[in-house]
Amino acid sequence: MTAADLTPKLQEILRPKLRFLSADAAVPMDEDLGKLGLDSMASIDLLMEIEQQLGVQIPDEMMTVDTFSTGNHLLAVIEKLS
Amino acid sequence: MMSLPTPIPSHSDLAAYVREGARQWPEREYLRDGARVLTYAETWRRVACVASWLRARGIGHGDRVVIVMENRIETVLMFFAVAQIGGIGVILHPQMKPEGLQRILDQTEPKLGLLEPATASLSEVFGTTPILWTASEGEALRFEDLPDDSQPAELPFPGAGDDPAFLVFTSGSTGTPRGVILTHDNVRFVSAAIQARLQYCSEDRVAIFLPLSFDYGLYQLFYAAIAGASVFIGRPEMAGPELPRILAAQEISVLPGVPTLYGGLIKMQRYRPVPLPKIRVITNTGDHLPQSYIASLRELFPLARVHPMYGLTECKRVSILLPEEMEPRPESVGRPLDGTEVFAIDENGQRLPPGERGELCVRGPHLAPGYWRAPEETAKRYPVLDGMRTLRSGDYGSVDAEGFLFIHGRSDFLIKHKGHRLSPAEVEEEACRILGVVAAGCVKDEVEDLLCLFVSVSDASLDEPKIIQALSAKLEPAKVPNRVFFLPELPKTGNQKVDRKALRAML
Repeated sequence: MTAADLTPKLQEILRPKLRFLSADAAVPMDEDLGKLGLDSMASIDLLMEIEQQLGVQIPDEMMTVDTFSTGNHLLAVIEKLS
Repeated sequence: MMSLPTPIPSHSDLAAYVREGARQWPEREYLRDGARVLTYAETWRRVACVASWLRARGIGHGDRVVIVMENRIETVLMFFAVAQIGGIGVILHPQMKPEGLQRILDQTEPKLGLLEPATASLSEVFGTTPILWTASEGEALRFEDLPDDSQPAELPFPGAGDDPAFLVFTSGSTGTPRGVILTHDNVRFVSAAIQARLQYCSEDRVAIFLPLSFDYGLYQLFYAAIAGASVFIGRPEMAGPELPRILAAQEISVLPGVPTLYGGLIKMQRYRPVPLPKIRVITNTGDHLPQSYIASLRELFPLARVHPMYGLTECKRVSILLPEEMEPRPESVGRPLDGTEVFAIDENGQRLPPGERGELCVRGPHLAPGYWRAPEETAKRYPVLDGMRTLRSGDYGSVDAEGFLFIHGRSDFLIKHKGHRLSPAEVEEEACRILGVVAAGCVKDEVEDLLCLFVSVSDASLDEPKIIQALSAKLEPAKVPNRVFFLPELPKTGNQKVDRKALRAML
């Protein structure tokens, strides 16, 4: 999958977890996910959904706060893996 | 076997934890923040440097210093330096909103603020109060530029044990944040009593993932210092998918947490387990730890001692349960700390016999003198009952004949959610400021662990996402409701207040 295919898929997984994002706004890929309402519990669900729906496994060394900090950071990791 | 350290004298000022630690075990590691590691001796040297600088700036006995930063070494150094000069430290949550900060600065009138880039947007609220910056380029006053003497002068502690050492701000019953005053004596007494139960060892590494603005996070610094243990200064955002890996990499042996942290840890360990053989102590507070979590934690960490506890900032800790006491009474939150007393009272303030349910009351040397500049709320919360100063917890529970505590319900004016304590009045007040909101009532759905807001509106275009989004700009994330429900009119009590009990019944 290319970044162009992955982005909308990732945004779809992200949207319901960003509770401070207004319903009509696009999922911003560069903003801090914590500020958009992603808490630690939701980020665990996020990991599971990414792995299950995008068919990747995020290795231990990429399991960092930084990876889960923005949509683009996640995207970069997923691209590397797919 | 692990060695038990010589205890530090329990009657002394707060900074003695570091000062004495530096004498007893100078080379042991005390603080670890990312790649930065400080021994006890090095921590004390740096605290003494900061203390001298504060004094040179004319900051001294009784003066307030407000710290708004993520958890980091500088927070700890400043905190102990302020205590050493007899000042009063105030550590605030880094996600604090300007409106909330303003109310706290109005009350505390600090002589200095300590900020970092992540909290820079709050600097304007400080007005003319000087700000010291951490990890920030181009500012006039930088933490990194403070004098760094290899043998700094050791300033004598100028105060007394019953002087305020710091304030912990927490939701008051009215929605205005209130600063609980903790004295040096309060801290020394309670930390020794807690350490007697939990028994941290010199070989331990204690993890702080809770914000240092939360007393449960902050006090880990004291318990660790009593034992000569080391502290990993982590951050709340580390409690996600990466938590097991961090625990392993940092070789954490003591994990203090709140139910949401354990919920996440259990989920991750079931999904992709990481071996964590070092974990030997797990403590819970902030909210009720469900039985299913206790069972999972015992299964996943068979060598760990799991301690349910109960407390409130107004006295820090009320009770701790030992694992060996859990079997016949799995729902208990333990016995009161040694040298303290807990009992339930009825609605007339009369003491109830063992086993009967009522409002829990606490007595002992750990009771804070009260709230900063709020004599009325202090008198209400700390009444004199039968000639003795008593803390009314606001929580409903019972104490059995053997002295074990049980919590049966939280009070109506305080909600515990995601490990935070919040006042429904504060959320309701903010909701009513939204244009088109007529009335609001905030309650917690304990079953689903959701914060719920009921509103009536005059503007039909207001929907759930709009209200959540508007509140997220004004309140810290943990205080933003998960669900919003619309009612034509909110139920009222006899004296025209929102009837939260009736709202809870609608969930």
